Amino acid sequence: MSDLLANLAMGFSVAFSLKSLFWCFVGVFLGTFIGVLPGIGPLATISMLLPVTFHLDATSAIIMLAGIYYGANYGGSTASILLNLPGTPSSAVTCLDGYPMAKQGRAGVALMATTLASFIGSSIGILLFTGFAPALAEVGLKFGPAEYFAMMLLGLVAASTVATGAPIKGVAMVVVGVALGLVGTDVQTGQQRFTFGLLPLADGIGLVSLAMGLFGIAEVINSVGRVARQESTYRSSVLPWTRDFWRAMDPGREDWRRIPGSSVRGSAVGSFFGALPGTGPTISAFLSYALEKKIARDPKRFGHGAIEGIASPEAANNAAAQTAFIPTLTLGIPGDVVMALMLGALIIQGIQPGPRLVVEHPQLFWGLAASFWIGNVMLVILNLPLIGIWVAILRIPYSILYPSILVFLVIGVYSVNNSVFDVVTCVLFGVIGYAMNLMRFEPAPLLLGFVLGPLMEEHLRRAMLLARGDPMVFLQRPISATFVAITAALLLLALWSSVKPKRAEGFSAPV
Amino acid sequence: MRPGPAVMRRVDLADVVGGLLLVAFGLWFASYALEHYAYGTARRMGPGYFPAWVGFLVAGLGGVIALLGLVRPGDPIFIRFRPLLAVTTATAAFALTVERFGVVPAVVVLVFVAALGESPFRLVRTALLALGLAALAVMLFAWGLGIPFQPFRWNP
Repeated sequence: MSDLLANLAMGFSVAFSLKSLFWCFVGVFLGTFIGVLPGIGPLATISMLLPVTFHLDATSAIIMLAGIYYGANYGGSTASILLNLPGTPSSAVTCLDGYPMAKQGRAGVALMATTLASFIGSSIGILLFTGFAPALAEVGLKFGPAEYFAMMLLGLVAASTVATGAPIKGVAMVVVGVALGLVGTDVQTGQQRFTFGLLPLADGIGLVSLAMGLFGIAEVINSVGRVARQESTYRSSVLPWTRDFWRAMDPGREDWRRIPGSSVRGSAVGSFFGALPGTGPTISAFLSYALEKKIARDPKRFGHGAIEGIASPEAANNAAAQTAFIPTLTLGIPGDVVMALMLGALIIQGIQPGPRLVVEHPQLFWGLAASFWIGNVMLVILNLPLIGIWVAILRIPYSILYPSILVFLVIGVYSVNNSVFDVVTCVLFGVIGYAMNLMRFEPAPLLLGFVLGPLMEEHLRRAMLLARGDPMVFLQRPISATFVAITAALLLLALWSSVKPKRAEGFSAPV
Repeated sequence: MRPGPAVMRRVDLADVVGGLLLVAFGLWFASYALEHYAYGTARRMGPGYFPAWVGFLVAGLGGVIALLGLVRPGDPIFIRFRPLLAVTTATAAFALTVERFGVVPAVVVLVFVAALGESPFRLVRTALLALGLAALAVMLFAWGLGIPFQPFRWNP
């Protein structure tokens, strides 16, 4: 316990340095900004800012990227409530009751409730993160290559089958990602693979070019001419020191009592599913909404502005956004594609996420944990007193937005190596991403496979060498066998749901 | 969003085309690996072992996707050529100009071409946006982050 306190104290001393505070603020500010704006999500933004992190130290970089991720959840609910248009997929459920509240003239109340719930969710998620991550890292230290391979397999299959509309297409995209990840120099033999004599490919396809192409450029192509200008009916007085400003946000006694319970329930759902591979903030939000509706005394209120219907999902997606860091940092297994990008960013910085991270880079780990708290406090300030800014931002027309996004994307890619080759690769993946979009193949699993592919090959080769070429090793070791069994079950389930008539559109991963 | 039964096709064209593309990619990937890199044994895998199996797996999954697509109806594919062309040309124009004339002209070209993706084309607004973004790019990246950018250069 005293260890934990000492570590946290150290973490806060890192997080309260001027540099960390600055990058944390940049992260949560941008996160809220893009969360509010429909048409650009955390994934595209984090891809866009990856090049910037090359010029920062690892701790500042991860603090900023994390800020974007959890900040987007705060901002996402704003667009859901005011426009009935989710800013991020994880806030889609918030439309169901948030928009009716706005129509009843209770938009301020809804914004207050979601911000509060988000803060409660985040706090619980962070507590679990600081409590469980070091313990899980201890377990992870005992894993051998066989366990790692099996665990990565499970992570990839879970992420591509659970969260997508068409599981088999998700699995196919993962494997394509693994294939792309193999481009470059083979670590064990020095053999150049699939480089076709192109010098820049010797280090492999750049994560930045791939991510920005698939998520940035493809998304812009997809949205141009489609995202119409939205008008919000919410007119808040922008001055937070006036009495009317706060009166518009007062939920009244009845609803005040409903917020804490539903937030805590949502946090529990979110914390659990956030830490599992494959189920992130979006699924957590949907599940917690379903739970609230089920246990409510009067389920008919849902869909007509029930405050639990926005508090619980918002608590859930924020809790999930925090606990998602647990497996990513302690085992090196990203649960979803945003976490895969974080992982990639750390690897680029020369830090290998895994059980040793807590011990070898305590500054980074505890600094990040502490920055979560600071970032969430900043977010409450950004999202309550300063809500007027975000309402104004909703009026930026897309015709100004998309050329700006393109400029930052392209300059970002170019700036990594001052390389035109990277820009061309990025555009190529943009076109591929658009084609995938047309054929309804999701790009998120591809990126996951791309990040994990080379690691998987390494662990597979090592495990097979140790086992003298006997593949049964994956079934003989109990932990690895468990992972393999769950993977097989998920695959069977996926196959079954692919053969049976098409089900309704699944939750797509946050873009 | 979902078109009614009137525009549904008898086969899921997206899955059939996508699946077949995956089959082609997977087979090419595997055969290229087998041809050029040592395969090795299960115990000592060569650089070609893993890629070959990855390729076959892609091809196999692609085949299943294509087959399943044949037996069920799906939505048609709509390609929107205008944004596709505008965005790719704009970024390609940046790639062509940035080494020759510097970042500022490259950004201006990018913004003007990208703005063609949407109608109506607004000249003044686009020009202001282009200049503003070019200035912002130089300030943020070159001054703020210290990346060695050349705002202008002459190297045609």
